[in-house]
Formats: sequence, C-alpha cells, structure tokens
Amino acid sequence: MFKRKSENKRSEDKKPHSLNVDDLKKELETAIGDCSDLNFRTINKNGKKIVYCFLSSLIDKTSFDEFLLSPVQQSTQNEWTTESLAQILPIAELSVANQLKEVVSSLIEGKSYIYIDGEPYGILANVGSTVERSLEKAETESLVYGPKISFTESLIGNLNIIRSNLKDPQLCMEDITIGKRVKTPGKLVYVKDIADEENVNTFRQRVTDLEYDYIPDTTVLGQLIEDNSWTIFPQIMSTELPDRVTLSLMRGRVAVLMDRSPSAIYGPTPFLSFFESTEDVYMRWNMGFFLRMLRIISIFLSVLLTPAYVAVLTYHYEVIPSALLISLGQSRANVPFPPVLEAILLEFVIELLREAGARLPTKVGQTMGIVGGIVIGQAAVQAGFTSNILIIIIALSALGSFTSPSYLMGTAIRMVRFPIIILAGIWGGIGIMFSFCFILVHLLRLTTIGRPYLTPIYPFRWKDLGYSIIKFPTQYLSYRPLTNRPVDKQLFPKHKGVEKKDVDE
Amino acid sequence: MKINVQPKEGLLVNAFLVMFFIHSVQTGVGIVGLPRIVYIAAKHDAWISVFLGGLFSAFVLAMIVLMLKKYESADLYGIQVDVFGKWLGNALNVFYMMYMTISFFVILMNYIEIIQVWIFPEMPTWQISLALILLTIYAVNGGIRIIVGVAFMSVLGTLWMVFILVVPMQYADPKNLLPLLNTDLKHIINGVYKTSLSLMGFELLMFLYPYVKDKKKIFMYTQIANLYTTVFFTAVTMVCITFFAENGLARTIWPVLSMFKIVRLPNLERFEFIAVSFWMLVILPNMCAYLWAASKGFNRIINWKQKKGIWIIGILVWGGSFFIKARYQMNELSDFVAHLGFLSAFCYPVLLSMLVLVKKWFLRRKKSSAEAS
Amino acid sequence: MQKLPKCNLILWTICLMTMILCAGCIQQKPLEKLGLITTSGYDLAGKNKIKGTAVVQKFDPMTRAATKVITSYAKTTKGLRQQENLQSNQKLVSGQLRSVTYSRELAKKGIIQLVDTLNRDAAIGNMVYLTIADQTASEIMQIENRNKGNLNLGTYMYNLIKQNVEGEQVISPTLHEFNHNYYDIGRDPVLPILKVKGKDVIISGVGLFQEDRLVDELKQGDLFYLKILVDKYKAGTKEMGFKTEQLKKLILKNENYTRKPIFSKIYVTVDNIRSKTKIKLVNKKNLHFRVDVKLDSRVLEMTQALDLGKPASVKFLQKKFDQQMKKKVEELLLRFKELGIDPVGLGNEYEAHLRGKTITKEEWDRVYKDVTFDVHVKNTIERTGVID
Repeated sequence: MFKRKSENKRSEDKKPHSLNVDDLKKELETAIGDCSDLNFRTINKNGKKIVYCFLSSLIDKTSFDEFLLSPVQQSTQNEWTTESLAQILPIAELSVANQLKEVVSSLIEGKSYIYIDGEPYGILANVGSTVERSLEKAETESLVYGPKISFTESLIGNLNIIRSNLKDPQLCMEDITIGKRVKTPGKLVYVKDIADEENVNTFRQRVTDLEYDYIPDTTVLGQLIEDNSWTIFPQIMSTELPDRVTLSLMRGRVAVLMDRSPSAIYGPTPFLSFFESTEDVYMRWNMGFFLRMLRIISIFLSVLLTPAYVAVLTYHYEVIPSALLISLGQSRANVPFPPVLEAILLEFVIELLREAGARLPTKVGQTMGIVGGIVIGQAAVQAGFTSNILIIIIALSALGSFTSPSYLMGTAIRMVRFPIIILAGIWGGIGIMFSFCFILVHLLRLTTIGRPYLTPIYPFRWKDLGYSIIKFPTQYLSYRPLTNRPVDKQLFPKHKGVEKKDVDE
Repeated sequence: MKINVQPKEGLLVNAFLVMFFIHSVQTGVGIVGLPRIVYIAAKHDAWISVFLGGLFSAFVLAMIVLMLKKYESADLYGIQVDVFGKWLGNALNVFYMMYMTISFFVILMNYIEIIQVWIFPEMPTWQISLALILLTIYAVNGGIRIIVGVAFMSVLGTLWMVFILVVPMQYADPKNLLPLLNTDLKHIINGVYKTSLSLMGFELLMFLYPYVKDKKKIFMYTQIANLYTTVFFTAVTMVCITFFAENGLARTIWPVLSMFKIVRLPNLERFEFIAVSFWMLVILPNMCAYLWAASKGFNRIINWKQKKGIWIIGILVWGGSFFIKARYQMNELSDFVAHLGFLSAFCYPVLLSMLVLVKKWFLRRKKSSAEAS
Repeated sequence: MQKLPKCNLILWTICLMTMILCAGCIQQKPLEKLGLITTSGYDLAGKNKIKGTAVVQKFDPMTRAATKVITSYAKTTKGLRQQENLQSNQKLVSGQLRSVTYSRELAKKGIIQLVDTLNRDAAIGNMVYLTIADQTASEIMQIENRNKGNLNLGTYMYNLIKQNVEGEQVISPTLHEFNHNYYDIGRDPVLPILKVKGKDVIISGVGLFQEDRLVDELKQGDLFYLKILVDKYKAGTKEMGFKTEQLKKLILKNENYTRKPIFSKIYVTVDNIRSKTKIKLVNKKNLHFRVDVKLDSRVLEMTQALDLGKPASVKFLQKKFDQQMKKKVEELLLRFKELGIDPVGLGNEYEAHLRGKTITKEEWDRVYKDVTFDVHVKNTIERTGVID
C-alpha cells in the first residue's frame, strides 16, 4: 500500500520529530529556517489536529486542494489514523516517515507532509509541480534526417521518452543520487542483458562515490567521472537527442540522466564514436559510409593543412611545385610576419569570430558573421596583412573542424591545431611528425571508463570496423559491436541476412 | 628473482598483434642503408643474401619460440637465471640490458643523422634527441600494451610507402641482376652477415612472451611477420640494384631515401622530405621496445621501479648523444653494434635454446627415473 | 579525476622548456626572402676557373615575379654561389634548380667534377635536367635579359625539355639517368644540345658522350634511330624519304587528274609508332650482337598519293621501310663503334652474360672495337588513316 523510503538514510541522528503538532511546527521552522516559504494548514477533525506542511513554491496548488484537502474535509470517517488517512487520499505516490531529516528533505523535494497529532508516523504525499518546457527541437545538435525531439529538464519526462522509444522489458532504470549536499535524483539506464556487468558497476560506483557539493548538469558529472581530466579529448559523450541514447543503449552502453539537465551522458565511448552521427544509421549504407569518410578525412585535413603550410613556407621551399611557386611567393611577399605568426593570428581571428557569433543575439549574429568573414578577410589581404592562400586554408580547416558531430570533439580538434602549428614553426616537417606521434601515443594511453580509447583499431577487432570507420550494409551486421562486450551478441540470425536465391527461383 | 612473470589479465596482448610488433621492430633505420652494405659484400646477388638472411632469422626465431615454450611464461631474464644460476645469470642479464641500451642509442643517433643530412643541417643533435627520448619515455610509461599499439599503428601508417616502390621500378634496368649467382659463396655469406644488423629486433620477442594472451599461436604469427619482412627487404634490395648503376649503389649512403627523390606527387615536388619525416613513425616502436625491455631489467634484477629505470636509461642516452659528432664515428659505432647484435640476437639465442632443451630433457629424465624407482 | 602523476609533470616541464629554447635554433628559410636559382650555366673561363651564370627568381611585392641574371667567377660551384650571393639582395638557394647547362668546351673536357656536387647536395633533386650549350652557357642564360625578364627562363627550359621528352623527341636527360649511365661500365650518357635562336632557346640536337666527355653530336633525323635502340617508342613520328623509282609500283594512277608532284622524291611520314628493340649477345667469343627492332605504325602523310589498298602493296612498303631503317641503324652503330662510345648499352648486355669474372672499363674499351652486329628490322603498318 505504501512504500517505505529506504535510500536517504544518513547515519546522523535518527530522532523522530515530536508527536505534538505545535512542537512539530516549531521544529520544522527551526530546521528549514525563516528564509523559506514554509506553510502550514491545520484541520480539526473529530478532535484530532491534522497538519499539512508544505513549501508553497514547490507544490501544485490545484492538486493540493483537490487531492489532499478536500477528501479529508469531506470525509465522514470517525477514526483518524495514518492508515485510514492513507486510504482516502487519491494520490499515487504515498510514503510514511517520522524522521525529522527525512521530512525536511522530502519537503524540499516538493512533497507535502501530513501529520495527525499523536500518531507514530506521518504521510508524505507527492504533489510537487515542476516548471518545465514542452518538447522542442534539438539546438546544439542538428540533424537532417531522423527524429528531432530533444530531452528537457524534467527527469520524468526524459524517462518517458526513453521508455517510449525502447519498449524492452529488460530496460533497467536504476535510481542514483548525484551530489552530496544537494541531492539531485538521477537514473542509471541500461539494458540488462546487453550491457556488460563491469561497465554498469563502474558507472554506478563512480557516481555514488562522488563527494561533490552540487553538480549542476550531466556534463559536469561527465567531467567528474571521466578517466583523465588533463587531456583535451572527451571520454564520455553527452547528447540531448533521445535516439542517440537509445541507439547506444541497444549497443551495450550505459547512460546516466539527471533531473534538471537536458542532456544525457553515456559511455564507454571510444574515439571513433565521436565521429558518428545518427544520420549514418538512418541513411543507406553507401551514403552513410561516404559521409563518414568525408567527415574523417575533412577533420584530418583540417588538422594538417595549416601546419603543413607553415612548415613548407618556413623551411621546405623545395617541396612547392613550380606552378604554385609564383603565386605563393607573391602572396607572401607582402606580409611582414613570419608564416607561424601569420597562421596563429588568423586562427585566433577565426576563433574570435566563432566565439563572438555564439554570444550575439540572433538578429545581429548573421550580419556580423558575414562582415567578419568576408570583409575582414578581404581587407586583410589587400592591406598586406596576410596572404590570400592562407585565408583559404584557414577557412577550409575551420569548416573541416565543424563537421564533427560532437561539439566537444570539434573543440578538441580546434585546440589541437595550435600546438601543431607552433611545432611546425619550430621544427618544420619533423615538428609536424613529432606532434602526430605524440598525439598517437597519447590517444593510445587514454581509456574511457576503463576500456581502451582507440577500439576497434587498437586492440584490433575487425568485426567492429563495420560499425565505426567503414559502414557495412545492414545484412552483414548481425552482431552487436564487441567493444562494449555485450552479453547478448546477436541482432538477427546471421543466415537470414545473407540468404540468396538462385536465378529464376 | 621469479623465473616466470605472470602479468595481470588486463595487460595481456593478443597474439595477432605480435605479428605487427615483430615486423615493426625489425624494420627500423637499418633498411635505408641495407642495399648498399649488402651490395658491397655480395655485388648484384645481394638480394639472394638478403633472402638467405631472412631465412636464417626465421630459423633463429623458431629456436627462440621453442625455448620459450619450455617455460610457463618466462622472459629472457628469468631463463638466464634458471639456466646459469643466480650470479652468472644476472651478469648476463646486465650485459643484455647494456646491449639493448646501446641498440636504442644507435637507432636514435642514426635517425638524427639522417635528419641532419637530408633536411636540417644546422639542427643541434641534443635538441632533437631530447625531444625523441622524451616522447619514447612517455610512450614506455604507458606499458607494453601501448608499445604494441604504437607498433600496430606504425605498420598501418607506413603501409602506403610500400606502394611507392613501384615508381623506381619504371627506371629499373633488370639486366643489372644478371648473371645470377655470379658471386661465390663466401661473398654471399658475408652479405648474409651484413644483413643481420637490419633484421635484428626479433630478440625482443623473448621479453614480450609473458605478456601474450594465447601463447600457442605465437609460432605461426612470428614466422608470418618474419616472412613478410624478408620479402619486403628482398624486394627493396632488388629494386635498388636495378635502379642504381653498379658503382652508383656503392657510393650512395642511403639508397632507399635516394630512390624517394624521384617520386613526384601532383602537389609535392620532393617526396623525400615527407619520407624522412615519416621515418620517425617507423623507428618509434623500435626505440620504445628497446627502452622498455632494457628498463624491465631494473625491475627484475634489482627490484627497483621500472619508471626509475626508464629515466636513468633515458638520461644516459641523452648524455651519450653529445659525444657523437662525425659520420665516421657513427659508422664505427654502428659496426660495433652490428657485431654485438649478431652475437646477441642470432648466435646467443640459438645457444641458449639448445642449453634449455638439454636441461629440460635432463630434468625430465631425472624425474621419470625418480618416479620409476 | 586524478592528480597529474609526478613523472608526467617533470616530462611536460622539460618538454616545454626545450621548445622555448629551441625556437630559432634552426635556420629559417622563408620563401619570400629567398632568391631561387631556377637554372644555371657553367663555362670554362681560363685555367682552373669557371664562369657561372645563374637565373634567379625573386619575389618582389612591387612588381610581378622578377627574375635576375647573375654572373660570377670561381673555381667550384659552391664558390660561385658565394660570389653570386654578394650580388643579390636575397639569399640564394638552389632547392628549386630545374636545369643546368654546360658549355660545349667544358663538356669536351669532362663535366663529372661539376655533376658530382649536384649529387652530394641533398637540397638538389634528382630530376634536374642536364643540357649542353651549343657555344657558351652564359649566352643562353642571357636570353632572360633580352626578354626583359618576362620569359622566366628556368620554367621555360624545364618545360621545353619536359615536353619534348614526353613527346618522345629527346631521350630523358635527368641527373639520375646521367649518373646511371656514367657509373655503368657498359653505357654512356646522352644529353641534349641547346642553341640560341633570336630571343629563344631551342633544342638543336643531341650530344654523345664518352663517359663524361662530349665526343659527337646527332641531329634530329638520326636521333630517331638512337631512341629506337636505347628506349622504346609509344607514339613516335618519323619522316622517311624514298627515291621515286623505289616506290613507283605504288604510285596511284588516276587518269582523271594530271597533276605533277612538287617534290622530286617521295616522302612518307609514319606516326603512332610503337617500337620494341631486343639486343642480344649471340656469340660471346666473337662478340656478335643481334639487334631486333619491331615497329608498329600507321601512315598518315605522303607527298604523292600511293595506292595502299591491296595487302601486297602494304607489304611492299613495309619492306622498303625495313631496308632503309636497317641501313640507317647499321650506320649509326658503326659510327658509335668508331668513336668508341656506347650509348646503346652493349656493354651491359655483355656483362649480363659474363660469368665468373668482372670486366673493367679499360678492358671493355679494348674489347668494344671488335664487336659486330646483325640488325633486323620488322615494320608493321597497321593503319593508313581514314582513307586508303
């Protein structure tokens, strides 16, 4: 009938509150304090005092009046005990409590505490209302193809979306509390017989072991539980698209959602999964393959082009073919800076433009973008401030780095370019190669939730290549990616995918 | 000291990756100068010498694997202590550690010399050696999994260079290879001996063995790796012989890089700049593997932390880089390491494996006679 | 989240300090501050002295690409470079060197001492073109001045030779090929000869070398046969002349036209020639070589209409071609033998059969005088165009 709350017991004093209504009111006022909107409503029924305690900013006034006050006022019971009170209240979530601390924390959560004078327990009724927005299109991640709704700030709403997407009885949503002082409710979501036990345990243990005051968002939570915070490469993916979460859940990953946070984090995410967009899944395999290749190549080139320009023009003039020689030389002849400074200056200007464009109100943003991009670039070349070939190269690299589907990874790529440019300016081609080797060793050393970062390339699982770099036609992908060590490996029976009929059969 | 090393489950490496490790450790700086060295010894039948050298190293690899299989999961340090006893075994261990440190040093200095000749004549040696040593230390600190990963990525990343061999073949003159088998056996054997410096590196298998997951498949994978290396080296030598004139090959110090000079991509005139830069990726696994194996000795013999050993060897090597300035000094050192390497990597493991086989057979006889009686 | 391990911290500090200290240790070569030598010429200037003329391309914001010609005197090429630097406002580098010209006089004495530095220098590529000037190299370089710096001589010469090599008119004269032929005992190099014509430079023939000394010259007509022997054709062209009586059988008799021919001989041009030559050592003791030339071609032009409709007449024409080519080839090979040069590579073929012992250059020179050849040419006329 009623559920006893079990989780929030701390080992501080287990003192029940006083059994007298007036003393109870005083105790609550001392505990929560004068600076809150604590309110009381007392009803006298059959000689017994029933007190309703609630925080008026958190409750839904209509449901409070209709479901808590009016049944009691209209009831004709004689005996007023906690059990009989629980029988007449038309509320779905009812629980009992008598510890002062528990009552206080439940009041803060939006519950209302109903106490009958002299009874051993009181009732906690959930009539909280949360302010939330309706389902909208995703803002930071945009898709051309596929479902477009995004998560909102309400945990219940988000869980609703996930459950509707994945009607799987094995979908497990565990309660976890996030934060020490401010205990935000969260959910650990995974599919029980697909996700690896070890992954789930690691997530659970890391989140519950956190001793942090207040965690505002799941992205902050991601930063706190990831393996290596000194690197620029993200190790946990955060997204606000529900279909991404459901896709990864079905592949064996574990997700964490938090109340008041419109994004979910999931892991373990190897390096190449940051370059996957859900469009690759929704489109046919050849187009998905082409788009993924385009993305990877453009990101690779965007990292490489500017440092190559710097290295060639500073140290290795012999490499330039004779057709380009004159135009390169002439365009550089006007510029007073060495190529390193020129490149860093222009990269800095592009980052400036991007950052400013993100902060401007939308009405002004478009104009400033055009002004900044075209006019400044043109004027800079004509003034002899920079060379036009470098502007083309920098614009191409900026475009290339924006093709990354994950904003975190895109920023990481942009930041990685700066040290490579500096190294190219110091040591030329050797510097570029040195930084490449360094990034390679660094990526090899990274782990995401304990799993190697560069799967499926290293350790080499050739079966998973069909999911990450190349995209196989669906009939060949009859198993889940092995990198997440799923327990249930098969998606569909393999022979049905490749059955072939003979001619004219 | 424990003879067997039982590393944790999470540190083990797949046997499949051992193939890449062996191939990448064998391909290092040796290959750039290989055709010339063998040509001076064996003339235009040099490719036969290279091929025979590869077969010889396959034989030595087989003996090494046989020896390692006799133990449950031991590396060279453990085996030497087991066979020779504590004091002699540890002395040999220290000697092997020094040999590997010198190999690491020679690879590093060879590469720096190539950079100084081909791209940056003014670059001070100590700068680039410091950077490369620090990079190696960073990689080795990550453990054997990272080193095998570096080897894997290095083989993948430089696979495209194999196809560049097609370009010199257009200028090749196959008549340079005839008449076949014109040189006498003595010169061919001399050529095989000279090839050994370039084919070295597989002795690191003796240190990798405890960390491999399914030890049964090691034999097959190492033989495949060695075969691939042999075929590749032979092909490169053949192309070099046909590409250069007779006396031209004897004068070109780094024939492979000189062959790269004629490659012309649409956007890049002089390909050898890119090739020399890419060579860093080729030698990185070599350096990491040698440093790792050498510093493991600190852990096994003296029970120090391996990280301390890594730093000690790194600083020693960096200090050594100040002393080599001229080409002839480098030549002498390389020759010395070649002789040392031939003994340590080719002859000694065969000897050791025979001793191990004898000892195990002896022990088995003793045990069975003890059981019978 | 974890603290940075201490050894990694040390690593990063050292790395960072190295980077800061290293900046500026390597000499920078920014493109716009360099004077790129695109082509240079060398002449003999008295005893133990050479005169060098370099065409330098500079990048000047004021004008369009400017070129300059610098002359200097020294004893070695690197000595020349120092003198040239004294006359230039930008640092001179030779990484973009595309072609080198040696004067005829210098070539007659031997050019290997100057080619050697091109080999040693890592900055100079292997595909530099080597050429010989008809008279002096400096007059060829001075064409740049005559064209008021508009010609960009380096690129012009490079394209001139490259286009002709691709068009199969000239044997490829790269540094690499020269090296290969020079160091080979059984082969001698061949380089093109350039001449000044008005304000332009043209290729006027091909120089035959004995090791590194210029010995003889071939004009365009004989060059065809040399290329057939040395290399193969993929789409060559050849103009062949015959006396009218030789081809009288084929002349098309058409009573409707009474036209008198303009030329006194009949010339036929074949093109799209694909050729293959096999030189084999038939008899080792007598040094008898057998040369087999196979050609596939099509007839595209004739100065007098010939009737090629019947197979018999085509065969007849082919036989005439064969005879004439065989004669020319034999003449050429004999000429080479008398001069003691071997651009064809007979020495290589001989060495390929030499088992057990090696041969030195002097021995081969002696032995070469006794070689004999046997030439067979086989022509196949595949097509005759769109009309018969």
